[in-house]
Amino acid sequence: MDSNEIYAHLQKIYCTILKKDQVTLTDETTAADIDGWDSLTHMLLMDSVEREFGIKFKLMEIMKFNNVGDMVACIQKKLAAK
Amino acid sequence: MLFNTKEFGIFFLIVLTLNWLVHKNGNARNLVLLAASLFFYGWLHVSFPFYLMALISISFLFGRFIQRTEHERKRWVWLLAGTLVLSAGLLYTKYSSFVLGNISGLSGWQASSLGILVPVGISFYTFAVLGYLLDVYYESIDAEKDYVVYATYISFFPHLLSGPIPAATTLLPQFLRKPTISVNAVAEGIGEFLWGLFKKMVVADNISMAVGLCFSKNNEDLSGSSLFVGAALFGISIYADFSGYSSMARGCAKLLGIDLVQNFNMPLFSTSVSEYWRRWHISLTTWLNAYIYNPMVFKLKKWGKTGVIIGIFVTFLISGIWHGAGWQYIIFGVLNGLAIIYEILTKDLRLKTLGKLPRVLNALLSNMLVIIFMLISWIFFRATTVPQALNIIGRIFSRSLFSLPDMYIVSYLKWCLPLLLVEWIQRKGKYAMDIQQWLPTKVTKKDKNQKRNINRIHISIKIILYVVLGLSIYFFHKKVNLAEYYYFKF
Repeated sequence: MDSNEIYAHLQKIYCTILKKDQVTLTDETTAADIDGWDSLTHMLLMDSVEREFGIKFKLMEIMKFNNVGDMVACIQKKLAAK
Repeated sequence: MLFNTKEFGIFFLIVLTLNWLVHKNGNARNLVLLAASLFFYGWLHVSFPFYLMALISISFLFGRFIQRTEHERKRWVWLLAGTLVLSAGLLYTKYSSFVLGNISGLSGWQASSLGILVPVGISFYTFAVLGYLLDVYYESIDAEKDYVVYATYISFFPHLLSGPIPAATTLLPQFLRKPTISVNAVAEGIGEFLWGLFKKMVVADNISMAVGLCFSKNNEDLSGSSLFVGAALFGISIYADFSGYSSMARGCAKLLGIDLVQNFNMPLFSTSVSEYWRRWHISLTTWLNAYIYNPMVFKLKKWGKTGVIIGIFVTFLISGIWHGAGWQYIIFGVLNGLAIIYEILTKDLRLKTLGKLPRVLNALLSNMLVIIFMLISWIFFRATTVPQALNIIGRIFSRSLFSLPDMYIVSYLKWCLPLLLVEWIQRKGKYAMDIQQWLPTKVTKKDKNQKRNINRIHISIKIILYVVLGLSIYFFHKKVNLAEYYYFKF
């Protein structure tokens, strides 16, 4: 799965969890850029991402995400290893 | 040695001079700061630096052990062992009396009755060393190899006694490189220090007497309305006291070439309790979020919202316990946790109802509700016992709430006005003395004169502002019965 496809899935998940019609995600996007993405919704987002892609994150990996780009790279790595 | 004393002034001038003389040599600069920090701490009690250095040495070693162990299970065992050893001092000095008192039913049994000397700031620097160990475990940072760098980072005197709780990911690297002391940083440092001094010496100290009266045993004559004003004064007082200390800490650090995290971001203008906690004691909230809330919610993420709710409740329970050994602190933490859970559960409903109101009115109403809630929870924080807090709250919510409050207590509100006014005006700035936001920022490259004029205006405004602030502190500070920093007891 290429990064564009991953972004399309992520955008759908973010819209559902954050109850928004549209969310723009890029490699540089951080929680500070999106209204409603806070510590309360963060883990709900991570859980939905895991279900969507059929992968499992480690806490250590999530702690190291600095932006959406880091998360996409991690998803790609896990999908490739499947 | 308090920030607002002559002794500290002399001490800081000497440290500033030595720091300036050796600032081009990173190792020498760290040695100067480490020696200064140990002297600063030893001034309070000769035994304190020994305890601090023991904690620093143990956490340094455990950090190295975790770093060099590859086996996941063994890393976890090192982390657990390190956490237990490092927490033991805090648990023994602060909580043993509370636990023993509750077990034996001896209410009011204080630490002093067991003869335990509680090192000032122990909760702050214990959390700092635990955070470091967890950062190494989560591989957010590499364990520090240079003992002096690590010891200087933990013991750094501006944050040692009352925070901000340092985060190794952002602060530790600053002790690894040569400091850059710019004119802007010095100007910002002076501004932050003066504003912190104003909050402590003019606001917090001056209203401490009225607060003391409202929370004393002899408050039977006071009506509900007077006690409500007293609770409001305490809310402002603790904010001015604690954020004043943090501002002074940041100011001192900036003058030494170190940038500490912002610990307060105008929390009194929050429109929800969750926003309030994102703006109040930010370094503690960040710590609890990273090392308690996130790991717990991660474990419970299959539970969805229920996991989040459990995570919030436990995090705020720990926040309450961190603040002190007493049921009133636990209730304070639980109340705040429940308020945030309520906000999550009713978010959609509130958007449908309150969301229809005009934006300004909605913000104003929400802010008022947050402040009233915080005042009630702060009563638990300030009261010496739970029954005293319940007594005050019961009397506030009585008929006498609608009577005229005691004018003597009301008169103390005048000390709060400058603080509230300045922070409201500056609520969108980086900090209260940030005047950058008011100056034009778009300067065309060709117009050098325009740029020069803006710089001149900037410098002139800052000088006038600092002189006015300095004179206000000189003329209006409380001269007798100075109150200690409230957060020192944590």
